Amino acid sequence: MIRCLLSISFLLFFFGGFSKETRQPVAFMLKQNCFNWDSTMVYRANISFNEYQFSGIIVFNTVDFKTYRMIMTPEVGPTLIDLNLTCEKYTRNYVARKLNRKALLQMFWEDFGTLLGLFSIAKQVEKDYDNVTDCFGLAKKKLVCYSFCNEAVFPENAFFYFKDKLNTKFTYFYQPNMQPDSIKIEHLKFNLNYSLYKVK
Amino acid sequence: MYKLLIIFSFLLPLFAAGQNNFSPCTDETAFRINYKEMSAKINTLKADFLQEKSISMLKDKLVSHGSFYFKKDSKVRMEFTQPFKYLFILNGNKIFITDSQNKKTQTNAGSSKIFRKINQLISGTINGALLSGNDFDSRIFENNRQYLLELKPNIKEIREFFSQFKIYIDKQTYQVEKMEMIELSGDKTTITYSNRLLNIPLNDSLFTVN
Repeated sequence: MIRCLLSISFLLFFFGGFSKETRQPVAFMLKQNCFNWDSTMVYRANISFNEYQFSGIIVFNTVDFKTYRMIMTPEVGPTLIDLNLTCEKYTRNYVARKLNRKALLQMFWEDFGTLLGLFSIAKQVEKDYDNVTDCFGLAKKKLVCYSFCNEAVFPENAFFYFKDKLNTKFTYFYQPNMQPDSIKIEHLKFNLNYSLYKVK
Repeated sequence: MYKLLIIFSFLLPLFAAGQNNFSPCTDETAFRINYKEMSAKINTLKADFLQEKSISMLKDKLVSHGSFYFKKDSKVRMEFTQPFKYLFILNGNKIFITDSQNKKTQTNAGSSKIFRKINQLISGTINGALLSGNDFDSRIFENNRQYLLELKPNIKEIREFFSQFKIYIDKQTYQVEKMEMIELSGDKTTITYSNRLLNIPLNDSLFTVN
């Protein structure tokens, strides 16, 4: 939060006198770099994959200005996944042996990186998708797009595209100027869905 | 008067800390016999539980509570009621879970060694079977009120997650009061039991989900 405020005041000071055309991208960058998250967020999560269900707690914590730490732990039992997430990559702090699969961890990185707005420091690209405000290009023809409603700090939706096809849809539910109290993530190519409900 | 209060405020924490100090159990054989005998008398158990998850990157503990049911030999029901509803049932080789969205899952614990061992651990604390077998290296401590059973897992599947379990047992009743599950990272889950009711009728339907 303090980091965001400092960044905002710094950028306002330097860009305040510039023309409207210059201010607009900065405003978007601010929205998407910070999303005004608190330094620690705790969400109760229900994850369903085909007939399997995971119910537990997901904690996000800011490590530094570009890194989030993410922990996933079930209601009953030990921590299963502990990752550091940045715009460029994920690093493992701890992953339970059976979940230690590159494809799975890559997917968590893409999903939670999109959710947190981590990829918004990637190169911004122009796209004319419906209802989309800003798009950012990742490697290997992957694209993350957000749609903002007016001057909201958090997006209404996020979309993850692969080769121009929509892979994953994120929906944020929140009161204006508040952090999202619930988030829904739907994978369209296979039956994997998340529901996150804010605990604190 | 002020001097007394100051001295008293210094002594109180020392006194409290002293009560928790555990030293190696002087008569392990007697403990093992008594624990096994008292546990054998438990056919059913109903208790309230408080679960506290301590995660290093969180300042506050994640606290939840609910009701715990046990029926011989190894049927366990943990029903979380606050701050969310969540049901976890171990019945022989089957695990039933109903989450806060009322989604039901059934898993065959028989196919997973870790689930089998966690079942044995939870029920073993109550039926006394924990101290037999080679699944854990155990050390026994005591203070004036409790025994402390420290268990280090020998099984690879458990060692992957947990470094140690600590079971706190009442010296008079030999009932489990608290259980700590310590993970490799140092994160910890503590389950504290209260309001225990022993050997009350518990319907088998409690240990399944329709």
